Amino acid sequence: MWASIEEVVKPESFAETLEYLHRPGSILFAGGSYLVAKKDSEIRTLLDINHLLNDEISSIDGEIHVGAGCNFQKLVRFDNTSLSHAIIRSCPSKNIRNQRTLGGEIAQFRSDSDLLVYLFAAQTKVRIHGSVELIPISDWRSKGIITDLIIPQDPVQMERVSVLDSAPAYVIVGVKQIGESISIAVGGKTNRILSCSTELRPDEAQIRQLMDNVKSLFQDDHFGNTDYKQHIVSKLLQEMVVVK
Amino acid sequence: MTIQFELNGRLVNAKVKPGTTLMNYLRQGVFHSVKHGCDHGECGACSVLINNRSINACLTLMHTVHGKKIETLESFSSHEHLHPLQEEFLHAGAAQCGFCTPGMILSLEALDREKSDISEDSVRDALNGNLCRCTGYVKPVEAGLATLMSSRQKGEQS
Repeated sequence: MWASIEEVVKPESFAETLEYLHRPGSILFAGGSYLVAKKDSEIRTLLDINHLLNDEISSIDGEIHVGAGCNFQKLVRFDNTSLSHAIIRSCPSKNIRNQRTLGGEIAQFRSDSDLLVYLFAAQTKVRIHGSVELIPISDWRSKGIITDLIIPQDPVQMERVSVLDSAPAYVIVGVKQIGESISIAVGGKTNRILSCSTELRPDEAQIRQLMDNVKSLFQDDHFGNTDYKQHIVSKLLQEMVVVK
Repeated sequence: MTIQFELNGRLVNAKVKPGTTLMNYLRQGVFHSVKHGCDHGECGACSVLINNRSINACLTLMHTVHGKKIETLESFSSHEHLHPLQEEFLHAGAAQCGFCTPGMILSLEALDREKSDISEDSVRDALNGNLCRCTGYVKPVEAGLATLMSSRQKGEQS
C-alpha cells in the first residue's frame, strides 16, 4: 500500500501532464517499478501517462526506433544482441522487465544502470515532447518528457566489475567504434555517467585528460579507492580497444 | 476508485484507495498463494500473471490493472487435479519451505505461454525474479525444464 497517494490522474495530453507536474507532490508514473518500490511519502498525486506513451519498436536503417513506453522485456524479445544483455544486466528479474519502461529507466538516471551506460556509449538520441529534433541522451537534463528513442544498432562492447556477478556493478564501461574514433561511456557507483569520444589511437595528452575525467567520477568507498577504480577503467579500455 | 478486471476467470469490480497495490488487494481476499515477501520487487513471492506475463503484484498499483486479465495460482488446480508444473515440482521434490513456489510456478507458466524456445537458460531467466533460499534452484529448474519440454512436445504432436 502506498498510503500517501490521494489521487491518480490520467492527463489527456502531454501538455496537460506538464501543467499537473507543477503541482507539489505530483510525479510522472509509467511502468512504476521504481516508484512503487520506493513509496515516497512526499508523493500525493500520480500522473499516469502510460496511455500517452508509445511502446512500438521498429528497426530502420540500422537503428532501433522505440517509444519511451516500451517495457524492457519487449525490447529483449525484439533485439537479442548486446543491447538485450545490457537490459538483463540492469534488470535480471523478468517479472520487473515485464513492467519497467525505457522512459522510466532514463528518468531515474541511475549511474549503475548497465542499460544507461550502453545507451550513452551507443550515442542514443531522445525526443522530448514538444520538440521535433532529437538530442543526444547525454544532453538530456531531466527536463521535459521523453517520448521516443533512436538507438544505433552497431554493437557496443560492455564490461563491468561487481562484487558478485548478479550484483550492480561499481564499474561499467561501454565502448563503440565509429570509424577512426571510439565512443566511451563509464558508469557504476559514480557521481554521473561519463560520455565522450576520442580517437582510436589517442595520444598521451588525450589519455591523461580521459583518465582525469574518469577519476573525477569516483570516490573512495568500500569497493576501493579512486586510483584502484581508475586503474580498472584504464585496463578495461585497453583490453576492449585492443580486442577490436 | 473503481477498477474492473478479470480475476481467475471472473469479472470483478473493485473499490480501492488510489495507492492500493494488487498484492494488498489479493491478500485481503482469499488469494493466499500471493505471498507478502519483500514489498519492493526483490523476491517475486507475490508473482501473478497479468495478461499472461509474470509480474510482481507488490509493484503493481490497482489502477493499472483496469481491463486486464489476472491469474493467481488458485486458478490452476483443484484439490483433485494439480497443474502439470505442480505435479512435476511435487515429483522432483522442488519445493522445500514452499514460500516461493507459487511465484516460480507462475513464472514458468508465463514462459510456457510465450511459445518461445525452451532451454535451461530460458528457464533460469524466467526464474530470475523469484528468490529461493532453500532449493538452490537445481530441482525447480529441472522440474520446470521437464514440464515445459513435455508441454512443447505435446503441442508439436497435436
